Amino acid sequence: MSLFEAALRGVLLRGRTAAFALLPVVVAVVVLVVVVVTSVPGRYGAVGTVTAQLLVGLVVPVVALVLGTGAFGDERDGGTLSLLRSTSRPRWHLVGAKFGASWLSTWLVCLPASAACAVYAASVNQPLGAVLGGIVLATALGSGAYCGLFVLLSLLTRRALLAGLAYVVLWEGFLAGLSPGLRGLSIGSYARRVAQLALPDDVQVGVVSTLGVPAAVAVLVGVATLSWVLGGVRLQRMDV
Amino acid sequence: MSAGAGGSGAVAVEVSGVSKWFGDTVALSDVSFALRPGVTGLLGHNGAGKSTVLSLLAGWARPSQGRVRVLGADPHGDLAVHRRLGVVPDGEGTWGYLTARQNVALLARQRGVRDPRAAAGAALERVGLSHAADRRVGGFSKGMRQRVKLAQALAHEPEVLLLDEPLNGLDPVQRRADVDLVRSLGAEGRTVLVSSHVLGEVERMADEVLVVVNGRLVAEGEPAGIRDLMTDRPRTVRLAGREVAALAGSLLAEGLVTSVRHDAAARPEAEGEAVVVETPAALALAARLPVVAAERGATLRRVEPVGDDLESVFAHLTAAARGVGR
Repeated sequence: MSLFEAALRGVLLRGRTAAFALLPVVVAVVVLVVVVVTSVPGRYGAVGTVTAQLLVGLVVPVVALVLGTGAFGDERDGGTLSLLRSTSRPRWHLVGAKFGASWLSTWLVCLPASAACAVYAASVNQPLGAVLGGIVLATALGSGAYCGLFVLLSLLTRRALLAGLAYVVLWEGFLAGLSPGLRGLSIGSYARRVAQLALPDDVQVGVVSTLGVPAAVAVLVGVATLSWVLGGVRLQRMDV
Repeated sequence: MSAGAGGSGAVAVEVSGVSKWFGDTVALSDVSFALRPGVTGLLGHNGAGKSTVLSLLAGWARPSQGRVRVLGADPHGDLAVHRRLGVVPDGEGTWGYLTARQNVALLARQRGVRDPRAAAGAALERVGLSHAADRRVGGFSKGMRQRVKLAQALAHEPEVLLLDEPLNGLDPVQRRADVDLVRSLGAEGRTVLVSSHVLGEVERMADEVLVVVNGRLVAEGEPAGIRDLMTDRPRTVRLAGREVAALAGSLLAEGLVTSVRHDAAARPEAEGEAVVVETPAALALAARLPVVAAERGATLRRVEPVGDDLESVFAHLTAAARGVGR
């Protein structure tokens, strides 16, 4: 069994994961009900709120927070972090396995909500290719950047869940909207920029980066990669 | 500062002038020792610094001062040494959602073993867990999980083994089996450091003992010598029976005790009169007490140490270490 496979099992078999997997399911059900009971013009006005803000701005970061911080948090709590350190495997391999497992898990857990949002966006006459491409790219890159950050946080502090929650709620939910400078430090603003690929040009999507989509993609990939590298350095240097 | 512990052969583990502190708390202070092949016990009360020693040797932490070498390498910075080093940590240390075989094979693979599944099977057989190899560890008893941890440490056939309280949670039969296992590992030429706070356990496993008290290495040597050191020390002893006051007077006159006082809490109807004596030499007192009692016509109903906890034993060792330079 590879470390990635073990890490994936660890994430997916946790009770906490099952509990938080309900969030995207509930969101998916609500979104699909809205699609059924409202008219196209009525849905059109809220398509940005549903796709960019609810899915990319709330569901993805919350699921990534729980699964990402648990990646090493659970190892620390269970006394197995020291065992991982007692191996000859380069530390960036270990962090990569944990990061990859939490990233894939987050994307999978968010899949019901992503699918429902794709249905919603397609129902307002958006091209299906753009809808699928935009949502898949935004959720994949957004969850990658969030998971990278939260895995790193779990190596930096025992209170990673609290610190991550403060970032998602206070920074992304409130402070990032106050000025363009603060927006630049919001993962959500770049993920929403990518999500705009799936949306009509004239809908509101909340706080969004002013960069172009390629630059937003590069930032999200950069955050994930940098967090991974720093996680490897941290795992090597920290006392366990 | 320190002689090498363990048997003959090359030094496998070297700790030189190591101190470790966490903020204002000094966990280890200027500890030095060397280990050779064989089993060495690391004895100390809870919080004495045993786990800190093991975590430094395992590379889980860096010393604040001094140098640690395992097989000539720095266990914190040199990852390759972990292919030759096995560790049983204190606490949980297993993945409950994996089977015993997966737990062992996972670590074996990370330590460079070519056929981790076969290595896991062999290690589980060695610790007597073959029958449960494909069951999830989450449903195991504490003793079984302890054995999984042992198998994890053994699967890659390490030259050096660090075992932190490996007998914790085991029933008497398992303890006996694991004592034999640890001894056999030493006999195979591996360097084994096993920690415990129970001298009796260490005696049965180790050829040499290191005693840690409050972060300092205060004694080292063969288990029998350590036991003598612990036994023959100033002690407070309560004597109860008939004519024990007169008996105590004789002991005082012989210099076997340094003070005598009546025990106010005595129950004369149940045990006769009672006195509490202080002795600087417990072994000598133990040897002479029956003889002097017979001479004085005293009848002893109870002879019991007072306040004889592990802390006082280690406090004595600390004082002894200061007095004789260990």
